[in-house]
Amino acid sequence: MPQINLVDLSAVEGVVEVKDLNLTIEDGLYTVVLGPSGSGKTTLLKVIAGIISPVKGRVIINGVDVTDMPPEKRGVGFFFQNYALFPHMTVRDNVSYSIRLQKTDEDLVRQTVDEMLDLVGLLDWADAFPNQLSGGMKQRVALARALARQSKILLLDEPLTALDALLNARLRSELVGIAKKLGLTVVHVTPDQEEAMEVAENIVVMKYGRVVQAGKEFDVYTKPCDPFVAYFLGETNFLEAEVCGEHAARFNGKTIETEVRLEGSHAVLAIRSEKIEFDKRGVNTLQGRVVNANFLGSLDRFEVDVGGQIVTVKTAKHTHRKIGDLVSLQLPPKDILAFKDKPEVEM
Amino acid sequence: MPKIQTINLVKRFEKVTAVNRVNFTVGDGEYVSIVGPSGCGKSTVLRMLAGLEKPTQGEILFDGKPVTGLLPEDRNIGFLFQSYELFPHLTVGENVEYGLFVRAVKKADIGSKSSELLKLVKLLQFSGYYPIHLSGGMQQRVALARALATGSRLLLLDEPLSALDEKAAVMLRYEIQKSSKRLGLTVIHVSHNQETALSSSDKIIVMRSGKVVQSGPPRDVYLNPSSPYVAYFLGDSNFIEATVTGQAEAEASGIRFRLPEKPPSRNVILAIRPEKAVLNDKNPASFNAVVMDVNFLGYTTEYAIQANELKLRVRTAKHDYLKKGDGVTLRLPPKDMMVFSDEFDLSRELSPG
Repeated sequence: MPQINLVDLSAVEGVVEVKDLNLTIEDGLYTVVLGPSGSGKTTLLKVIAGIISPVKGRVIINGVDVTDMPPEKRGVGFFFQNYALFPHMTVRDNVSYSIRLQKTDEDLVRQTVDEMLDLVGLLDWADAFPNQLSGGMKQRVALARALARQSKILLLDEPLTALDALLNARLRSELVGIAKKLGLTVVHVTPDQEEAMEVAENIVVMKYGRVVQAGKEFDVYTKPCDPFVAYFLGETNFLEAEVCGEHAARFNGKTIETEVRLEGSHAVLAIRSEKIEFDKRGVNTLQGRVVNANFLGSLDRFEVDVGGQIVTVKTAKHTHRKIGDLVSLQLPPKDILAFKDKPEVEM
Repeated sequence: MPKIQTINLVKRFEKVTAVNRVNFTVGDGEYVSIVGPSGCGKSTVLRMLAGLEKPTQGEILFDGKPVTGLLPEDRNIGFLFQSYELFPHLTVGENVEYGLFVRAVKKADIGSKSSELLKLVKLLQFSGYYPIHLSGGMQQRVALARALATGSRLLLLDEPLSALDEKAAVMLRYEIQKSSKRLGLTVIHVSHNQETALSSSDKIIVMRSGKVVQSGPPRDVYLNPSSPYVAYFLGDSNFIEATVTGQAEAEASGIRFRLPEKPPSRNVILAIRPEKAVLNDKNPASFNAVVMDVNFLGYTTEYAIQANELKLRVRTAKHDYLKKGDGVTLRLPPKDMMVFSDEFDLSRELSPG
């Protein structure tokens, strides 16, 4: 049975709107809601938590309509960006606060709190006060507090955003580990597509208050249904081309062959930067000049000027190409997608 | 002569030494990134260069001349901070004109100069907008245009991308890099994002606990980290604590590894990047392992692999060909092994603080 169902949901929070949204969050999976700021992803989370009432539509958890229930009755644990801890309480008291609302057995409370602090690696800090902790540690305390409610549903609003890179990387895998260990259904909101790809099983991409695509992470990445999804998740080139056959289009004076069927007279061909190959023979080769080269560690990224259009290429192969070099790019037909338009992109 | 030089730079705040004898040089037209986790002292170094903090000891030279006594406004520097700090009551165009006004550009030239800069940051059509109507990324580009408008040849960037959505941040980081190269500016960019530092810089300075631990061109530092900390902070690495068993060989968990060179100590810390480990290549040096987990990351897939007690992460561009529980062979090519002495305390090296 799907665990969270959102039906014809509309909600407003300041200038952000969620419009006629239908979505199923699957039981026991780690779902990431991804979108630019203002796309309505946090508002959506607040509606599920019960912090905001929808203008219309229903929120159904485990088959029960919870739309009119207060947050504490919904059986969800949540963590929001402004994770204020009580400054006058120790770490232990901060975490036990949310359980004391539900339970009275002191031993049981203590045991639960210890377990949760152990999970987030802060058992040794149980008696410390918030002002003795770093930002990352405070965030983990807030996470332990959300977990301590022992709800099977955990809602996370940008839980890693305020952390520096090392902690962010570490907590990413911790979060997934904790969720799997406890068998949680997680809804994790973030604007960061790399973070999303790392933690998600399912991905929901939002834009302007609507769901653009939802599904298994692999499917959303490899089969984007909308140019915005291809743009926002990973890095994609969009080439405006004139259709000249069912599987061929003209770009920059060259014929590009595709496996996908092309319709109409005009198409936007889309290809991921990592799918383009340097100096490989075959169909679909384009000539260009390297105008920028960036070392990204495990990858090199190049910007290549092809007849006035910049094409980006990412490669893990060692290459000594540099700015000014003439190169040939090969676009494998199987990796080319086609859309009607370029993505609508906010600058 | 270097554009900027610091000599034994020290900054103490009461009992805390935030910056501890820092020495580096920056050449004219170079793009230099200072990286490290929060609290490592990188922002304090930048604030001293800007004149916003006074060094406790040491000297800062611009073009060979000490500037330690100069006020920020007398140092001829352009700034970009995490918060955009635009004037909310001025339009985009007026914000940029303010930078030109500070530089005392002739009134007749202000309009065309302003247009030129807005064109550079691709915001010419938004000249009449107020900052509140722009996205974070656009506001930060206005701030960049205004910083450039002051005409200074030196640009100091303090985490200018960290308040932006990742997508906007990546786009802007390439724009800043390209604009600064086009204009021949010297840039010092403080960042906690290792990818930004690797991609934009001519030189990286890695800091930890107030000190410079390594500096050099990004590729050199990435390929030849001087400590496990640098291997971990820049990029990503697997670490294996191993015992030396031969001239260029070490063992861990019953598995023998060929090393690229004579090891520095009896016990060593081996490190290898997830993208350098090789799966299923039928090489005799491979050993058997099991796939524990699969994580699709888009351009690459990460496999959690276990061999005896060893747990390693391996990344490859091949998707969807292994699943949890599959048996595989794994090889760690000697040329890609990084070998460190066991004098390093691994848990301390990898702790965030």
